Amino acid sequence: MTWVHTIVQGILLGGYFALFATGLSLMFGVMRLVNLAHGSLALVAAFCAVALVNATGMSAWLTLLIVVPAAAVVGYVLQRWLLNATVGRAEVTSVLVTFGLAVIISNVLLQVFSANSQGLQAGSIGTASVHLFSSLYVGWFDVVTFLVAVAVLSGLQFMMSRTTTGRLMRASSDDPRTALLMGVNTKRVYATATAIAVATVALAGIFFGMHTQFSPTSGNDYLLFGFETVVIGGLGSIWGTLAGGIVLGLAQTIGAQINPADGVLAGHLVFLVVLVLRPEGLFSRGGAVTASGLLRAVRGIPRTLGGFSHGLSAGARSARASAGRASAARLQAHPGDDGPVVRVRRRGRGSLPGGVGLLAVVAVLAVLPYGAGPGVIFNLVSMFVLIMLASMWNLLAGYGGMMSIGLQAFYGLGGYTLLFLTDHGVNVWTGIPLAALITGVIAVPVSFLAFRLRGGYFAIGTWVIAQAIYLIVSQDGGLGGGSGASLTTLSGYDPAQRQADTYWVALAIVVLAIGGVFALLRSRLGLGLTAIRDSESAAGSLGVRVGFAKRVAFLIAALGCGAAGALTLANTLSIAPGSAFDVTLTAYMIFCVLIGGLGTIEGPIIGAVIFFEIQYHYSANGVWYLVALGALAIVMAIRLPQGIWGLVTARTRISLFPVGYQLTTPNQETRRSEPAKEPAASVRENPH
Amino acid sequence: MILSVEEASAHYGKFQALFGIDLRVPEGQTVAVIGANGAGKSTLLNMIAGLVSPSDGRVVFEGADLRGVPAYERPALGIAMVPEGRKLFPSLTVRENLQIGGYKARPGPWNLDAVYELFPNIARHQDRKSGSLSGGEAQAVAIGRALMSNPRLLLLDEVSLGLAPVVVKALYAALADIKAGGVTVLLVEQDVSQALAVADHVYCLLEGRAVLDGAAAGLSMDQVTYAYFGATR
Repeated sequence: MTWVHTIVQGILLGGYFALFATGLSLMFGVMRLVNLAHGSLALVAAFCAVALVNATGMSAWLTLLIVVPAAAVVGYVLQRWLLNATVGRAEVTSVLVTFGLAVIISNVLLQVFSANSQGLQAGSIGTASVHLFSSLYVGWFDVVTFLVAVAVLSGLQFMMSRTTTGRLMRASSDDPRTALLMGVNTKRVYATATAIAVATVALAGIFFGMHTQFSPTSGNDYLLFGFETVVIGGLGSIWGTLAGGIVLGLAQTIGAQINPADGVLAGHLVFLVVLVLRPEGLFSRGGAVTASGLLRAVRGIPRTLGGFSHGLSAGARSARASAGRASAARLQAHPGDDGPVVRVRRRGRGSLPGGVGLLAVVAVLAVLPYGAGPGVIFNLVSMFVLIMLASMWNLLAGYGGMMSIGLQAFYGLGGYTLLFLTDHGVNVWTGIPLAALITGVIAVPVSFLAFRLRGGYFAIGTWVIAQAIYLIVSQDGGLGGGSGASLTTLSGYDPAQRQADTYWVALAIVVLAIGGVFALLRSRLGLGLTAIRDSESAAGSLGVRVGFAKRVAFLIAALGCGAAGALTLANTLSIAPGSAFDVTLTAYMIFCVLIGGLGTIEGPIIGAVIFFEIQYHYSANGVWYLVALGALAIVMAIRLPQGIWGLVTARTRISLFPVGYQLTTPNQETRRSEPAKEPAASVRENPH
Repeated sequence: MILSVEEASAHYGKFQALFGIDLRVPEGQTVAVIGANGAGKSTLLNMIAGLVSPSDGRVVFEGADLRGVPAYERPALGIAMVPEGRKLFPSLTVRENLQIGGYKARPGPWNLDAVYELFPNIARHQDRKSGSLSGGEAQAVAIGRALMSNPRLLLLDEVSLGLAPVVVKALYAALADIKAGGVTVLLVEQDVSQALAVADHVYCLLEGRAVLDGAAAGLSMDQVTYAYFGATR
């Protein structure tokens, strides 16, 4: 009977998740926009309801009448004045803007409502239950929520298929440019869609708030639940959303039945299993999950693994081939006539003096421990870590077109692997590279999961993976559980010597990492990677091994983040799952890359140095500091997507790490063929 | 003069696609713009429809400068476009595509029934998703969709592209009916003989400049060939 009860509870829980997912799915369907602030918006609604209840003493049910319409207005305004600026641009823009928004919202809530948990009282209906049969009772409130979810989904279904508004939304989704020609003000259509989406998520936030306690950090969970529901159910299928919610609800309740702490983790794991077996969703139009689908997936694994090893050898071959070629080749523009001779150069302006300058900087940094105090050394290691992390995020997003919000998974894994290794007698200094390597190895199977998704969905998918790893690690008593552990093996070391040694290792690793990224991007594989960023299908059709190139980049990013995590542990001597797997780390990486310049090697370094300075001076301001960071990220993503270094190169054409090719003719007219700095250049169109 | 384009230039970033184009379309006539790939024909139509802003010069429709009028407000003024490649909304049915075309309709003779009467073969498929139509049927829907707004000026971009000659012939036959209703037509064609056959007046673009214009009847094939390719054979 417990099990029957669990299953009924799971199904009803699906109603909440379907409500979370509806708006996410609608916004993606109409605008291809993955709204990372979706969960935060639900939370804003719940907190507004709390404030209303506290201020007026009204019932939580009545707040729906105020908050939901207000949310629709907020959604409309948000789309009109902020998100429309991201439509039609590279997907990275909308991901960054909505992520910045999520950071702002959760920190403002933290400031206004403190970190305490809050709840909403559903009144008598909240405690009443329905007697189904024998000893099986279910809560009335859960039943009501489920019915509301069904009603919302039916209403949406009706609107999309039968009304003019729905028709305009589908037309704008199919082809926004042609919709304009038909007299459709697409930006207004988008704003309407977002208004509906935010209204539904406000509904979800308040209902879930009456169901479970929440705090200003719950928004991320809400987002992940909604996202998992959408993916499990299958995109573009409204009833699939309900089914996906039910599957997730069942996974969570059954998981919690087995071990009370494992409910959310079970949900993440079921999501990952669906991703492997049926990435298009269980209930997408292709039909339900079948045994043959499962068989296909299992048979596919050796094939993809084989492709991977084949790719490795091919990569090695092409590396050898390109090493044999001179870096500056002479080629005849028109064979057979005496046209101008075009030279292909790889060095950019300022590369040589810049390179010498960089070497000098590294040399100065190398002798620094002899003169500087321990505080400076400690901070510099933190800065090196930040440079590494930012460079790795940039490698993925700026060159590989993969926006990850889950790199904290590898950072945390690197730290915890080092902890594990030293606990088992490995020397710390051997342990750091070893931890990085092991993290890289773990990244290979992870990539097979993550690469099932694209764009904004890849971003959230990697986040789910990081959360799953976090939940597993935080429940492992051997690794210190939720409260973390200390690196005890270094306690006998002389503190000054330890810091200096950590510093030198960090410096060596950061130089190696940036040099490695530089070398990778100059290789054929790097060129292929840049092509993938601009158009995955076009790159594939030209013979770029898309999966292989992306996987190499992913692996290197994991290595780098793993090394950064291990270094942090050696530097700070303690680690805790909450901070080692904190998504804020990725927010920092994104921020550094945005300031410095996406898609350049110099950008993340400059961004990390600037960000480190900002953090050093202003992080004492706590929450408002993060709000300001989020706002700055939004402004940078929309107004200055090429970052500071992008501005510098546009003016001076200086390139310290030239990875492109330049064509020059004898009359010094330089035609640049360097890959575009901003992904996916777009044609300027009539503003409207 | 229902439409005049005056000294208009257009840029895509740093690339200049049109250089000071002058073009006049008298009411009730059919004007054709011909030229090779990349001559700027589609840019010209997109500029008139409002998808591309002129970087210099202006577009005047019925005496009013269209500067600052967004594309989505132009159908209500009486400008409708059949875009290159048809660009139907694939997840919408044929009828829904036509309904979107009539979203900002002016009063006039065209409605669903009138379009189905003009193209009886698409009436049979009105509940089918437009993504499943053949090329000729899709082009008919695209033309019908533009007519649904009751335009005064119909812009046709490469109607014959990728269609069998017999289908092209049928579509151009329908054009005669459309013109009979008083619609002015500005069309872009790569098929020179087709353009010369239907148009009253022809402009020839070469690398973003209007290099030749004249009454369709008065142009010799040699003149057109020279203007089209920028060289004599």
